[in-house]
Amino acid sequence: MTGATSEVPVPPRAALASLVAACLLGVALLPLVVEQEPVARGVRFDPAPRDALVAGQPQYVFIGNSMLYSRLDRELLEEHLGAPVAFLTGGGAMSAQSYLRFKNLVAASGIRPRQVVITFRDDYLTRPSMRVDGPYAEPLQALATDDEPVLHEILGDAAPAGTASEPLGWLPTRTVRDAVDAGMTAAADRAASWLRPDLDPDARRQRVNDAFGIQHVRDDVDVEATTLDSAAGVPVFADVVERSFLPALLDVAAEHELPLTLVRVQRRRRLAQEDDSALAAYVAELAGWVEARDVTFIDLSGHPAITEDFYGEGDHIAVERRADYTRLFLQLHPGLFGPTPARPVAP
Amino acid sequence: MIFHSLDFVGFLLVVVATYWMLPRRAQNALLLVGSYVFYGWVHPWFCLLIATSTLVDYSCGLGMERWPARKRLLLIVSLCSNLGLLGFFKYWGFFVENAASVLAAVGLPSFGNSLDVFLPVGISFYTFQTLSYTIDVYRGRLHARRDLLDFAVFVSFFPQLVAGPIERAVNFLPQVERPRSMDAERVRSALLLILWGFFKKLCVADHVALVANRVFTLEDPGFWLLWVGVLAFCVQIYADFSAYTDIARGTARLMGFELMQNFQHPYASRTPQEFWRRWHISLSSWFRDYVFIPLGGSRCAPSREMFNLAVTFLLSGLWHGASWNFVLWGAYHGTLLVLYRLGGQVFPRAASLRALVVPRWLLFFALTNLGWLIFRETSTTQLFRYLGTMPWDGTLDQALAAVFLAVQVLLWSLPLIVDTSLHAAGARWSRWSTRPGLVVLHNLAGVLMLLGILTLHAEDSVDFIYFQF
Repeated sequence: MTGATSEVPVPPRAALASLVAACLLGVALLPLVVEQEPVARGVRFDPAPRDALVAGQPQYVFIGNSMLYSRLDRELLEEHLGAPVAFLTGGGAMSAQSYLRFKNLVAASGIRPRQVVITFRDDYLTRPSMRVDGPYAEPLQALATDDEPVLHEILGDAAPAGTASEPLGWLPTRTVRDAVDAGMTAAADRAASWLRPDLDPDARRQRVNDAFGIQHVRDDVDVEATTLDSAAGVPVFADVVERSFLPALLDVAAEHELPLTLVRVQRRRRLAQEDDSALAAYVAELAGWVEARDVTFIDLSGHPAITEDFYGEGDHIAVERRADYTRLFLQLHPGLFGPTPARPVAP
Repeated sequence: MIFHSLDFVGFLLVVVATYWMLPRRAQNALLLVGSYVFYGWVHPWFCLLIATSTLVDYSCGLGMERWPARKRLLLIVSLCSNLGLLGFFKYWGFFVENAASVLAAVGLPSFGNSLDVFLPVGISFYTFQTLSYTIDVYRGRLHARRDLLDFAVFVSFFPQLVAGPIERAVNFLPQVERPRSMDAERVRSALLLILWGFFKKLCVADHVALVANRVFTLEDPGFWLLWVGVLAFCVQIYADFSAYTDIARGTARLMGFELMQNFQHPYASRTPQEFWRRWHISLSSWFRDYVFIPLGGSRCAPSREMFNLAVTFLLSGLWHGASWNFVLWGAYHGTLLVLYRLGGQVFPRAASLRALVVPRWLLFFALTNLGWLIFRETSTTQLFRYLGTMPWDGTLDQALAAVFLAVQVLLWSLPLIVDTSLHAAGARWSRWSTRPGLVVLHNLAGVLMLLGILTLHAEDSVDFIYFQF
């Protein structure tokens, strides 16, 4: 190969042309050599919640996760507001689900609510890939139609399969990645079996996962945000906003003329506490950004009225204090909920 | 704008295609506009900062030649304005926080930090680059430039603006000022360099980052898991940073510029001296030329030399960020240098013993990893907790996780291990050549890298680590 010093050098243009040709050929041949795994749609879009909105014609729609339904009592809200209220929630739902609920359920239903409220914590609105896989994949699929270009643009390969034509979809990306993952996992497990031969591979993997359980996470690390890419801490808002669902969320609100309010709920560990400088800067930028787009922003974090005794497990409000919290929420934001319910509009 | 984005790919194609249709001066105008677009893509106000640095140093350079008697004053103006901007944006919060702690400790009334200063990306890099110009003009090594356009391109050249290499005016300005040429061989080498850079970032750094980030979220990972996390970070920071440099060098080469090498297989080093000749070369040589040597360098009494080393490395550590762990990291590497130098005096023959080659490499690789632990962990409390972890600390499950993840880290790192091993062994086929066999091998490597990038890129790519500095 490199033996003879009298080898004739390849002319530079030929060397360059051969590189470009080899790259093009490699990309073209790969799908022929490696079979593309068929894309499975998984769980299909579930229109039932959208139909329920049409039937119920709620005047106020709240979107969120357990931070919402542990805090606010829907029936009590209806009683106080004198109008139907709908909760669109999912356990552990994050911004991807909130975006799809808003777009595919609220906007697509054609209802005209007086207010749509989306709750979130800290910088979670701009962490788009948070909780989109594992147990959260199916709920996401149930909210996604067959045409979700924004979802794919933002989540890339993490978007549910079959919900849009994927960029580079003609390449056997999933097949190659799955094969490499499987090979690496098998090699890693073989090495690990030397240490724990008494366990089967599944049990060994479970032990590995257990080593990273929430109970082992440091106090200064955001447990909820302990996705693998989040150790860098709170980002600069402007750096991440365009890669999040927030612009698309606001576009949907503008397009459908839906009044939207974003509510940052208080976390237990931020009780009567100022945010650290990075988070404070982030929240200030977030507030300015959404308010400039005619969306209401409410920050409940650090509010002195919300005290430790409100809390149950983690950041959740205790069941017995939910009614108090609901009343407090209504008191704090009288302007958010108009005095008279709007007339329902037919879809 | 970040390299691994479609925005950048489109931007680069447009710039390079337009660039080669223009004469030199128009090329420079295009580079300047392109660089400001690149830098101000997310935060347009960043451009004001770089324009300020440019105008101040351009004026100071001209002033030094026009009024030689005021050279010193103008150098001070340049230093104060550049380091003032850097100090304010990078170190204000750190200063206020520590000053408040000191005041509180001595019982004096403290004050709050009313300013949330936001660090403009790349400021540490272009500040040092432009300072090299004024210092060299002051020293008479360089004549002041009259062409503001050329000078502005030197300061803002987009491929290396955000994370280096920190170019020297002496090397780079002449390239800006003369016509550039292009040939097929340079294009081929540039494309392969860019592919290698993207491969290291997307298929190595971003994958091992998952392991490092996971381990560093644990309060008490146990000894073995902790050090697997550190090893992952060791691979990540090299793959990530050298990837940026390679993409920057390849991109610059596509436009006829040659940027300096920033890395030369640093993990093949057996001593700290060797490491600093191979790691972030543009920064370490900057500190050598503009801090260490002016302080007296090594041509002085041993105690003074130690002092010079200590100051240089403390400043180098602080350059990386406003946090005590970076200062500690700098101090650690300064101490290593001193100890190795003293060790060399006590055992002068140790360095030439073949039997010690591998043990010396292993020892220094372990010490490098200890340094990365200090570098990675910004909480000093947690750092000392980690440092106190002994080999017998930790559960069997943690050891199991350590083995499992260590294998994954090693597998993802294989391309880097092969690259470094070939280099260390002096393999002929790791060198650049147009011999038929090598062209085939390099092209094959190029195809594999491209296919790897397209199919194996990490699903959640993160920013380049050195953006935060």
